[in-house]
Amino acid sequence: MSKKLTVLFSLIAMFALAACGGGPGGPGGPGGSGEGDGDVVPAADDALSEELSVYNWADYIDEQVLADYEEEFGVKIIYDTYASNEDLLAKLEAGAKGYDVIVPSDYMVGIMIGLDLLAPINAEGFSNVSNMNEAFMNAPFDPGNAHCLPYQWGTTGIGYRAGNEYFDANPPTSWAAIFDPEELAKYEGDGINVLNDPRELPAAAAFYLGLDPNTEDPEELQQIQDAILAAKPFWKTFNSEDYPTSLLVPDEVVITHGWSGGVFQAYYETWDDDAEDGNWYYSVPEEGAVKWLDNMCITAASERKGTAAHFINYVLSAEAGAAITNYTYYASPNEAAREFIEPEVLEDPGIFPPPEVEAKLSWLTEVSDESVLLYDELWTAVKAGN
Amino acid sequence: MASGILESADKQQDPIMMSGPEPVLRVASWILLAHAGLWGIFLFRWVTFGSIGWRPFDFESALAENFAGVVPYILFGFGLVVDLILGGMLLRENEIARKGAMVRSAIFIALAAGYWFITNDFLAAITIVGLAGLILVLVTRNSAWAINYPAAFWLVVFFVMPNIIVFVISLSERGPLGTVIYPDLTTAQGFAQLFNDYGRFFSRIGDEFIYLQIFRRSFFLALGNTALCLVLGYPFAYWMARQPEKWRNVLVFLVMIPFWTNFLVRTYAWLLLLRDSGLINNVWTSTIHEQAVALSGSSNFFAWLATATEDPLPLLFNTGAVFVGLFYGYFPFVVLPLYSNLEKLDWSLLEAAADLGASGFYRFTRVLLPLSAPGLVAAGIIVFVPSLGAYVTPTILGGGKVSLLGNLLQQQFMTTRDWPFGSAIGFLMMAIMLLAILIYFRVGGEEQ
Repeated sequence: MSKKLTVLFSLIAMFALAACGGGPGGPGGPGGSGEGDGDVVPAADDALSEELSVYNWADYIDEQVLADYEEEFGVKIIYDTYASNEDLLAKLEAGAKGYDVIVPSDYMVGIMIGLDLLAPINAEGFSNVSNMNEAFMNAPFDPGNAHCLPYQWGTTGIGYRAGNEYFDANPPTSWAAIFDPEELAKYEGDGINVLNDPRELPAAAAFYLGLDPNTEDPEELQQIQDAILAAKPFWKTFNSEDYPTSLLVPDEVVITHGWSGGVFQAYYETWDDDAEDGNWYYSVPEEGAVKWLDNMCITAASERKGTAAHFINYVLSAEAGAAITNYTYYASPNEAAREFIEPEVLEDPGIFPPPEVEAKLSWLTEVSDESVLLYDELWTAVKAGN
Repeated sequence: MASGILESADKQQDPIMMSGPEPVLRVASWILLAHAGLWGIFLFRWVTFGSIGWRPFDFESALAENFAGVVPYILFGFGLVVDLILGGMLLRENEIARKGAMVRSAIFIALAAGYWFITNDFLAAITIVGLAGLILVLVTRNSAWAINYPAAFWLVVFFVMPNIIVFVISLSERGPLGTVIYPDLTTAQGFAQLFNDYGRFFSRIGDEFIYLQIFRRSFFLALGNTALCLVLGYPFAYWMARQPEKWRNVLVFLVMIPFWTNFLVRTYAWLLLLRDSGLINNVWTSTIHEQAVALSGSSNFFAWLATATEDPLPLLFNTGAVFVGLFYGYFPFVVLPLYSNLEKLDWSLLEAAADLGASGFYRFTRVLLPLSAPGLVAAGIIVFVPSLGAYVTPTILGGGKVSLLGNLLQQQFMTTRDWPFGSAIGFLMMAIMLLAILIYFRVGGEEQ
């Protein structure tokens, strides 16, 4: 045994001497050009990593854009999707590694910045930032675009069934169509859906009442709660997950509080070649509405920040931005992309609202921690009420 | 005859028992030797990282970051040598090696704790602790401990520890942006805030006890569902148990067939059946409606039916739909335990009762029901507990309008990100379910 031991020890000693160090090198490896201090900027075309992981909303990109990027730069894209901002946050907070590019919405960007989940970027280092519409830069949730760059935007308005007699005569152009009990009584039996979202629904009620959609005033919140509870008996469903496919397309409801893209999805799924029209129309109420913006950000845990920034810069190009909008029917914040966007998409006032409508849109901003509790209690009361 | 069998069994076992160290020690030594192999692999990987592009494990990166230089060599090399020697000696039943293996395991448990503290790499730390603990238990030669170790380890890691974590969070406060602020027990104020979140459940929003209302609604829905399942499941299980033996297994098989399909898919299927454009309403508003219109001149009933069938029935997106979904989902869970209880029943007792002149009603209430009480209670709890926490069914079939405890819990964790309050609700629900199970053991115990 002692002989064997001697051999073993000498082997170990030999290894130790020969290797002189050993062990894995620093994390990252190639493509770590964003690793240094300072804010992330795109890596050079020849300094990209082999892989890049992109985590986006389901059905929210033209996959050809990914394929083109893969082919042009030789970066393999690992594409994965999620269904809600909360899912994304839960996954990142649980310590999920390996996601490089994520696409959270406005208010979630504020939360993620606060939780140090996003890597700071230097927007000036992105060559395609000059393509962007100034209105979508420097948003309140991310001043100076210190963490994110805009991806797609849209509004939260009203979707209604085309061909419905009542709506043909009285197109729902006001939030009263969702909140006024007298109005609601006229088509209650045909079904009304509202978004199952604790910020969107109170914001819509706030527009109806002429209040600030980001109000933190307890009295105003009480008014909002009362307005919602007064209308709730007329509503058929609270659905924000699959309302286009499970409620709009099969005509389970005639009117819905909904995101622009969801209603357009129903419009195109019910497209009739003969009539050259779909079944669902979208309108932005005259009192104003929520506009929202999804943003491309780089996770703080990313080990390929330079490549991630390079990919984001690619998506900001006019061609890629137009391709995505032509596929998703959400509006592009990319001014230069307009020339490549199909005319019927560009001219649709539901997708690209005219300036006078756009002036009445407002962001949902993250409310203070004290008010989060108020909003939670409002929502609990709304959901528990009859 | 019986003693002969025993003897031969003894004879067969003896040689095995005597041929080497005790089985527990032998297992321990093989585990140690396998460890030695693992150390060798790690050492080899470490040495060759420069030349072979290994993908580093988390713990290797952590080692490289925290203890660069000679420490990993000492760790891997020392581990290799020690485990090799201990394993080899233990195979020869060396008493010193047994003590050494104990010390070695204790050291590794301490090391793993330190490693977890530094790197937060829970998975690796718990694996090391688990294996070290296994060796420790094995070399104590206590076979009862050794046999129960895997189950105990599993329970501690996946049940006891998570519950402790949830309990600690339930005592905390929601911090900025939904972070968790752990209780500060050094101040009187921190102490006073411990059970804030439990208190909140029993407090009002505005002027109504909304959380308690949600609880009441969930509780009665679960209770109603349990009652309906039992009332309809009992005769069904009884009927199954009275079938000829060859048919019984076929019937059990038929009851279990729905489990082949995912619960979510089956719930969505109800959506297709119950919605306005679904199968039932299709028949109602077209087939029945047309017939009723055609016959409406003939009688008042058909005239009424013709108007009634103009609009679809409100079958979906209400409490009734949730009730249907829950009943459908949990009915098999009632039938199976009841059946297994009734099947073993001594039917001659019922015959005896009949012989002694008991009426059918008496035979049921005085003989059959008491005998099957344990099955009834078990079935009731199996349905009641998950019904109380139901989430998928009220979300899909209730259209998001019916708020139950499960939805409240989801709202706290996902949208409001108030983990402490969510944990407190979870713990309160667990307390209620524990109470239900205690009742079960009381009733079940008396029956024994």
